[in-house]
Amino acid sequence: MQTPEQFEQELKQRYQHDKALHPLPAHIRDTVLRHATAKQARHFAFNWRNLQLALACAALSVLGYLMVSSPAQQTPLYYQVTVLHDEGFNETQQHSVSEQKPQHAKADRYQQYLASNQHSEALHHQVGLLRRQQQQWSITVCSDLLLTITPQLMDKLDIPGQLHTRLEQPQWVEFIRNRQGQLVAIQPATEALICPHS
Amino acid sequence: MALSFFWPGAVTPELTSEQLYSRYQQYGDTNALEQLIALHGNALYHFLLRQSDRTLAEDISQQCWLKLVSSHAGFAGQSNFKTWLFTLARHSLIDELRRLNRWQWQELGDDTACAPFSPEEVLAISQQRLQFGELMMLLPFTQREALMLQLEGFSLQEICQITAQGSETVKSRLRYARQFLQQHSNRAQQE
Repeated sequence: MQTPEQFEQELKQRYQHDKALHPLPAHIRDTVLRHATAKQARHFAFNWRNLQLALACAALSVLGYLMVSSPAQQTPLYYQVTVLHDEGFNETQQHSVSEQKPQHAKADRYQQYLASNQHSEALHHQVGLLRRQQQQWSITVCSDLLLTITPQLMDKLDIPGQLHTRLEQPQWVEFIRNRQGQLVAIQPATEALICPHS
Repeated sequence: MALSFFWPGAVTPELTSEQLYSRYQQYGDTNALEQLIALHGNALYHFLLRQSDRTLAEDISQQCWLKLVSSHAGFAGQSNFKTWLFTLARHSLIDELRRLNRWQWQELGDDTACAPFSPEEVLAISQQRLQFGELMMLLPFTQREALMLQLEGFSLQEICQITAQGSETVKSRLRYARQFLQQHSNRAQQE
């Protein structure tokens, strides 16, 4: 007759012995580990694919940003000065910028005009009255000179709001032209120009 | 641990089952999974084997481990890993037995309330030299599972959790299972 303790001891021993006789078959363990390894490989491949996708998106974004923002990629603008005839003025010039290259005939004619006037100074300062006329700007220097300026050129001259906002009324300005006669700056004049015949 | 941060394969032996599971889920560390199988694979298979047969035990074992691999049955940490694993296995086994129409146990059955054999039957059985497995198979499903789980080292509370039964029910099952086995053992010694 076994005591309860002896019985319990024997039961545990028989259980452990039986368990040891029936281990998990090796093929199940191998199958599970093979699945785990394959899943890990897929996971790695998925991550690598995602990383590649993210890098490609980032590269495209940077490229797009550079294309949009880079000044080198912008269409070049050509400064054009066209000499006109106006009975009210001795000289009339139309200053503009365009994406189209100026025609050779016009450009040559302007160069001839510059040569005939012998613009010797590197920068030519003049005072005139700046007005806004419908879709364009004009500067008059008494009855000697009329310059018409397109809004696009005014923007390119980078004249800040100090002129634009106050130009509902005509304003005396000093304008500066380079050796080629192209406007390089316009700024408020400290003194008004006194015309000889006014 | 510092080494294992840089080299996930470097699993230190003192890690618990929960930590091994976490390592596998977080880093896909197959060494951690291998250790988990080494720790619990045999016990789980043995439990399933004694509750069904070799084919089913193999199928359910593989299913359980594959569920763990595919994260379909995530361990949420509400119990210890081994309890969770055995609960998962038991559910899978019962589902499979139901599917095969081999599920005999009725919720209202009285197999927990009485001994499975009469004294005469016990005597007849004890005259045979039965192996442990054969002897266990003489017990009803629910008594057998309670006893197997206790012999595997689960506490009463954990057995209640795995079998989804109250503690009194589990205690009764354990008492009747032991009573039968002890009677058999005593008879066998008297022979």
